[in-house]
Amino acid sequence: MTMFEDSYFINIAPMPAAGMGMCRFVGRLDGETVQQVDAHIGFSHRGIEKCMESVTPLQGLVYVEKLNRSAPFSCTHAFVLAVEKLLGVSVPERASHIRVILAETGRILSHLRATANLAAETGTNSVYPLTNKMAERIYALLDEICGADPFCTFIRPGGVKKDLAPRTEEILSAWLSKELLPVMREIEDLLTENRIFKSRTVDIGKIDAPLAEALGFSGVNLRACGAKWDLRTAEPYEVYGNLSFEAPIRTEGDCYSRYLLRIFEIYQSMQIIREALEKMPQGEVILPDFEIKETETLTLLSRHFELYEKGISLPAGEVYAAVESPLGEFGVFLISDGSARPYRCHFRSAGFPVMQALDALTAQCDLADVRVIAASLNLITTEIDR
Amino acid sequence: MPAFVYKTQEEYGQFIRLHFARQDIPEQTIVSGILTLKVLRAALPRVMQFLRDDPVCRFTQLTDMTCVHYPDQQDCFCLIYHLLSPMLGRRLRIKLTTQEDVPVSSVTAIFANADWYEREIREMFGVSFEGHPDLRRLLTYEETAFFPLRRTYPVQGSKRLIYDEATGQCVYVPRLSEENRPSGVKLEPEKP
Repeated sequence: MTMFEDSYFINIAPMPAAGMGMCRFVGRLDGETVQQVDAHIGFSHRGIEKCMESVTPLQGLVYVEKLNRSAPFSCTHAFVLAVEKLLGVSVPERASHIRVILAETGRILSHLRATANLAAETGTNSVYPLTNKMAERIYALLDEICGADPFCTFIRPGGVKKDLAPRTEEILSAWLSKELLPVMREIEDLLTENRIFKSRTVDIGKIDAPLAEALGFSGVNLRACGAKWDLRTAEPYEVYGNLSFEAPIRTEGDCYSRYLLRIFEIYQSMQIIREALEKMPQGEVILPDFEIKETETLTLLSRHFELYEKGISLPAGEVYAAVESPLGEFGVFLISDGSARPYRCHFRSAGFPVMQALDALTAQCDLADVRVIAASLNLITTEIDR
Repeated sequence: MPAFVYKTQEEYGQFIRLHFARQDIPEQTIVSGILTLKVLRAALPRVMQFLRDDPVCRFTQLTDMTCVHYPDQQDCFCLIYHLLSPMLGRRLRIKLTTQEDVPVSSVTAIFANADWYEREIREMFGVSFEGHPDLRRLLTYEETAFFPLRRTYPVQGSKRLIYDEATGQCVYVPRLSEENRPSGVKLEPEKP
C-alpha cells in the first residue's frame, strides 16, 4: 500500500486533555493504523531563554519556575545548581536536605498527575478525584513550608529562602504515612490489576533500551526499558549521595511499565523524604552572602540593596548542571561573560527528545493508542517549548 | 579495553585525539568538570561517529545541542553538543564554530534526536545545516523573518503592533531605540 492510495491525514486532537499543555499531532493513517505522527509544538513557546539574557539569576528564577508547573522545584533546582556551580559555592547541609525533601515532594505530585492522566486516557476517570485531592493537600503542605505557593523562588542560589517552620517534620511524616499511603493503595487497587487498564497499556508503545538511549530518553521513560540511569545516583547532587536508595527499573519498556515505575518511585520518594527528615542537621539554610532580609546596620542594608538591584555577579565561564526531574534529565547550560546577567542560558528539557520520538513509538499502533502513549510519557509542553 | 585505564579527563581527551589528525581536534579543555573538545567543522561527522561507536567512548546519547552567538567574532556561531555515555557515566562537550553562510553537516544520521535540535537552532540563530531531512520551523510560525536568539536581536522585538487610525488597520512599526534596552529598564553600566 502506498501512502497516496490508502493513507490519509488526520489531526489527532489538540492535546490539552491530559494536562500536558497545548500541542498538535498530525497523523498519517492507514485505516485505523498509524503510519506516522508529526508533532507540532511551539504553542506555549515564551522565549524564556531569551528573557534569561536580560535578567539577573535571582530575577530569572521567576521565569525558570514557570517552565514546568506540574513538577514544582525541578526546573529551579537545576538552574540554581548551575549558578552555584559557576560561583563555586556549596550550600549548607540543612538547605540541601530541605531541597531534597521539596524535590521529592514535587516528584510525588508530578507522578500522581501523570498516573491520573494516563488512567483518564484509558477511560478510568475515577483516579482524578483521588489525585486532585492529594495534589491540593500537597499544595497546602508546600504553602506551609514555602510561605506561598511552590512557585515563589523558594530554592534560590546559596540555599533556600527560609527555614522550615517548627513541627514541619512531624506534619510531613504524618502526611506520608496517614494520608498519602492510603491514597496510593487506592490508586493501585484501581489500576495495577485492572483488566481494562492493562489491556490498554501492556505491550503498547514499546521501546527497547538502546533505541531509547539513542533517542535521548531519560528518567522514568528510560528506566522503563531496562537502562539503569538515574542522575540522583549516577551523578549525585545535593545530599542524594548520602541517602540509601536505588532507582527501580523495569525491562518491558511499554506504557504499563512506565506506569508501574511511577508508582514505585512515589513509594521510593516517600522513603527518601523520611530518610532526609531523619538525617537533616540543624544550622543555616542559606549562605550569608546570598541572604536577603531586613537588617539593622546600614552596611548590611546597602549590601542587601545591592543584591536586590544588581544581583549576583557571575564569574565568566560556562557550566552544565542537570537534575533528575520527574520527567527525566532537566539540564541548564549557562554561559556567563562576567556580568550580572547570563550571556546565554539554555534549557535541556526532558520532554523535548521524547516528544520527537513519539513518531517512533507510535509506529503501526492503533489511532486510539496515540493518546495513551503520549500520556504515559508524561510530556509537558510548557517545558518542551520553553 | 576497559574504560578505567584512562584515569583523568585529560588522558581521555588525548585518547580521543589520537584517532584523528591534529588539526581535526585542535583544542581540549576541561570546563567545569566536563571534557570539552573543539572540533573542526569538516571533521564533525567523523568525530561523532567515532565517539558513538568506539567501545571505549560509547557516547550513545546526544543529551543536548545548542548554539551561542558571538556577534564580535568572525566565526560568530558556536555550536555546542553535549554527549553522554550512560554505560560509563561520562559526559563530553563538543564545540565548533561556524558563520552564517557556511553550512554545518547535520548529525541526524548518527544521533537521531539531533533532528529537532538542529531545526530549533536554524530557526533561532539562522545556522544552516547540510543533509538534514526536514528543516521546517519548530517553535515559531512560518512567517517569522528574524532570528530571535541572536544577541543582536532585542529582547522586546524589533517591531511593535499599533492601531493606525488613518487607515483603520493594525500595522507593524519599528520600535523606538530606547525600548530596545534589555528588559526596558534603565540599567547600571555593567562590569566588563
